[in-house]
Amino acid sequence: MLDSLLQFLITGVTVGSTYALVGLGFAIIYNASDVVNFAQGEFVMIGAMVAISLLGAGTPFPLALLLAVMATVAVGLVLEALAVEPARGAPVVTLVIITIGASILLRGVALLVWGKDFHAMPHFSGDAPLHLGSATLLPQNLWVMGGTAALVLAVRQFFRRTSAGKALLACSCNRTAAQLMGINVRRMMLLAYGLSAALGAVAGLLVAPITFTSYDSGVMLGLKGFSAAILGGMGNPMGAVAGGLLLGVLESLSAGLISSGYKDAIAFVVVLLVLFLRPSGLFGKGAVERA
Amino acid sequence: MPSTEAALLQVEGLCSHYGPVRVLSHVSLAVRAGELVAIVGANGAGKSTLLRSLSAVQPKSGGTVRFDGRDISRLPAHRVVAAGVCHVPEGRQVFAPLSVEDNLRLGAYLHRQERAWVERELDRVYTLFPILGERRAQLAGTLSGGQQQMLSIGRALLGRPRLLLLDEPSMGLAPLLVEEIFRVVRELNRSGVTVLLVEQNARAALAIADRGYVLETGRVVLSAAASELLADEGVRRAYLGR
Amino acid sequence: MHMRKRFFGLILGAGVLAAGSSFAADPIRIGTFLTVTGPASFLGDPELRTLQMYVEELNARGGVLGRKLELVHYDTVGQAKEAVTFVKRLIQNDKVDVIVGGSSTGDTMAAIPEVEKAGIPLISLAGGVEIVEPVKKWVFKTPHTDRMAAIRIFEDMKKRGIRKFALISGDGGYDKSGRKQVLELAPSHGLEVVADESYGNKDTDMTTQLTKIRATDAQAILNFGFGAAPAIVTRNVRQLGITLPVYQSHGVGSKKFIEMAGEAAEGVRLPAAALVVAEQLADSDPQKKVLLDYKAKFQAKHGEVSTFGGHAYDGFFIAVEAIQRAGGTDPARVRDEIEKTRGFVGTAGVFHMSPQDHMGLSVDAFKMVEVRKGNWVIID
Repeated sequence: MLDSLLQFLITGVTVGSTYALVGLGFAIIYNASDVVNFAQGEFVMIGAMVAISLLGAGTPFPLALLLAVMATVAVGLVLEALAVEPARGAPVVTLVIITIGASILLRGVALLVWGKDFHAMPHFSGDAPLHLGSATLLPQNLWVMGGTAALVLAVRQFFRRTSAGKALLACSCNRTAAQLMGINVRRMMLLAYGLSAALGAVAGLLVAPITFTSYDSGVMLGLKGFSAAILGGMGNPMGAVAGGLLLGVLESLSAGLISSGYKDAIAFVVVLLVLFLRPSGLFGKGAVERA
Repeated sequence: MPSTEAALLQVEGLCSHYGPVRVLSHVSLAVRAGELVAIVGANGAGKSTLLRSLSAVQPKSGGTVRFDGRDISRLPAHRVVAAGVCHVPEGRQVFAPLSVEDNLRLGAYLHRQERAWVERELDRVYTLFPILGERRAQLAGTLSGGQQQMLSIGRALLGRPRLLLLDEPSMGLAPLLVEEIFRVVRELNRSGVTVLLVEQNARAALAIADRGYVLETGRVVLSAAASELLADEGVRRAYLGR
Repeated sequence: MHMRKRFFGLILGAGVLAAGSSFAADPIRIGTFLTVTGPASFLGDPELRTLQMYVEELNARGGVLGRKLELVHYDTVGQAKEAVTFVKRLIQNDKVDVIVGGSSTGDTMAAIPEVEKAGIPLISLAGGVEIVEPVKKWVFKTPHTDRMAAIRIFEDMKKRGIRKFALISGDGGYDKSGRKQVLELAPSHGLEVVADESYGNKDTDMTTQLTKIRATDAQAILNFGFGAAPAIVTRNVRQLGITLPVYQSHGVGSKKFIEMAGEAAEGVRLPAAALVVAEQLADSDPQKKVLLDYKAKFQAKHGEVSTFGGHAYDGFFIAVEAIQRAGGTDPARVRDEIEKTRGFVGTAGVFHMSPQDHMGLSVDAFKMVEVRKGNWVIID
């Protein structure tokens, strides 16, 4: 039983790590502009797809990953510049609908470019399972967990230590005041979208070897990442990370200990319960941006 | 009208609208280097809108703004700050979830490369407002109203202002604090910072100002030396409560 | 891609006319409603291409009974409600003579009351047993059923001495229907289902469910699933060091599965449509020629074949041959002739329809295959 529990936790943390990265992307854009960017899941898909295509064309591994992240960042910037920026000043609902439209468009383009098939990406460092007692995990699981941890710390340091990070925080809590500090708010929005896109792309690269990618695999990840961000307290980047991990572990434990058929339902109920008791999420406003 | 020669800030025919409503109607004014100019007027006269239009966080619908001889009417807000116009907005607008020191450093955002200058300037602000130095690690949102006002002014000072726009610094503060704030504003002006001050508390503002403008429903209706305005019967009746 | 929903066939027909062939009588109208776009496009897309391909080919050869064929198509996007509307339109406005379609069981079931009322024969391309059980007068289908797949797997398990197995399935319609059949039929085959786990079809990790299965005394694992999930299950099984035999359903019968599951796929068994292993069939097998022909034709135009396109081939030719035998398009006579289909060699198997059996396939239409060295090998 204990061994099984360990396996459930390993699975939960791996899956949760992806949710966390997607949730983090949601939180950053929400913070900067009050907009829930529903194309966040598509960033994950694009990152993985571009990398798979490049690898297929014979690009060396590290270069393919780097280019995939850059391509996704470019998509994020274009999304901001061509879809979100022109509608600046519109109600938030309008902007959210724009991002939903963008996500549909991106899926459509992906369908045209990569077809309906699932695509597999090679593991970063082999797929021989590692043993932990009677529990096993793949080297890629470690990549996912380690990569997530590294990125989360990097984002945290970015907001804590760099002036660009501080400036982004300033935009998120008071756009006008930020402008009065001489901060180019427009550029900060681009930064937020670029950063979110990069996070999404990296999440996609980390999990692609385990999960396969298809043009619509961003949908589910987007929803889970959104739940993670809500659970952690929308607008709190570290909350979104905690929310993602919690959601992943919760799903895995419900599937393992109660019923796999109800795992999503159970996780959903817990999220609702948390929001009922703490409407602003586990780490909602107040503790915000202290990250 | 004062002579326009050597004016640091020269505003001509400035108009601004909120939707279809015209809030500023052909406002013209000038501030010379080293002056402390007060704009007084009733609530809703357009005083804050005037400052917001000058710093470009509120769109202008007409008129020109020249700063140090250069047309800054079309510049976006962050470029206006770079030109040397720093704005202490109405209601302080500090970055509540950030620390006092982070707030101040964000004030120096455009000068962040000049580390030594920023450190010196931080020290200067902490000397000017010792309470901020004591609370440098505290979150700005947890400060009292007066302390937030000090922080907001300090933050603007780190922007290296050649012209400081002050919007209602006395709002909501206890009389003792109002006095303190105005003392500091006066001091800053004496040390060489040009100040354009918007105030509902006309008496206190005119008491420290060199000159003043009276704004009524978006128009300049009167401009004179501060002492003359203080003595003016109409002004006394309308704005000085007597 | 296939944003245009309708009348590709009409345009095609017009093209053929313009090319000079002349047809004396009214065209024979074949109606179809498929899920060409949307989440189940993997069904409707090859089906429509197949129908278009053969309509074009037969017209080029002078049509059927000297009459031109005309294909009228609507895309249901997998919405059963749309299916009803489109079938009504096919019958009332387009006045089709026969309907080949319904990509999914849901779409087909929704359409059945309409064809039964109007008395127009329909040959469904969907898998669900309920389409033809109980028998409906005007309704037929060509694909083998998930029940047949389950029975085929059970037979193989028994041969290997397996008595207890663990079931793991997804949350889609295909998966759920398969799971129901497995749970219903296992006891009558002397098999015990010791675990019944499920996952979301978009899930990315099934190790939790498989860890639970590992803790049971199952002698094999049966995964009823579709898309990427079965490949993930297969890889997770090996990752957890589980050495039990793994069975998949006919839903993974494509090279893509082997490609995605990689090494882990070795030894996996599943009941596959003959189309998947056409090259390996004995030369004496009557299906071999039909399958290789269809495969060659489809791949020359559209790339990789799928069994779904094969279902459309079967449905189309059963309809065309019935019309030929009926000597016209009188709905009642066409229906009778479809029911009298005997020994029609299709891609899914050799069809023997009867008043009691509106599908006409037997269990051995499925070939039991195993993955060996990255390829399918027929073992039974």
